[in-house]
Amino acid sequence: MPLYRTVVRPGLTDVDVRQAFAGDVVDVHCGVTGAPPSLVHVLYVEDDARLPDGTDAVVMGTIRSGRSGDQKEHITAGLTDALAERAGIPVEAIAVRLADIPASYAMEEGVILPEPGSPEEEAFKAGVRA
Amino acid sequence: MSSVNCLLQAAGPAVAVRGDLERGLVEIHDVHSPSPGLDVSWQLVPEGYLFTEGHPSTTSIVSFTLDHPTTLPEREAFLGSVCELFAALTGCTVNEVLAAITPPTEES
Repeated sequence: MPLYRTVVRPGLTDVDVRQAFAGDVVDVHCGVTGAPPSLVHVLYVEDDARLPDGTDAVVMGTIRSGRSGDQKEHITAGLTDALAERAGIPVEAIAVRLADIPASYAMEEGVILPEPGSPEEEAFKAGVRA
Repeated sequence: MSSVNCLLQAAGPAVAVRGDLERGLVEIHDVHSPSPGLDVSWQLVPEGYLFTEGHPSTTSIVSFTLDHPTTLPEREAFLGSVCELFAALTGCTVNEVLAAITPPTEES
């Protein structure tokens, strides 16, 4: 966690673009939040039917609760700009949505995830895999 | 009824043991849940469509929707058992399993 599900128009991206944007997601999310990069997952689904008219890509991020509105705005803007550049599409054709989930409802690295900014998170970061 | 969606690498080792995983998931659920029964669904991800830390991923993502509320100790035991199941049956490490429960909504 976070998990960014990215629905794109079929044929819009190739594997190089998908991997490059996955790296951008790590940079943006971790740059804004300080989360460990090893926890950032990006899943792609090619499916026209899930895209509103005029939209080429929808990024749906499930993130731990506790991020500020300012942090979410930076994530949204950063991901929009990055995907527009990688996929060669206008920012208007991209939608980014973020949904919160309490950290204690997810387990990764074999442990329940700590709340963002908590002392437990620092210990988690110290023990997380490189 | 509770449900779980398991997202697996299409070319990964977990696909070959889906039957065992399903039986294990149902068993774990029924041990930890007041109401038996778990609807299990699968999503196979082709190579090049899932990345972790910006690299091709080996992670399995196991997402539950439970029909009952849970406490933190209950979630820790339940999700821990799920991670151990995947590690035992697929040969992955617990680092390669993301297990989560959808929190109950205000209405539920």
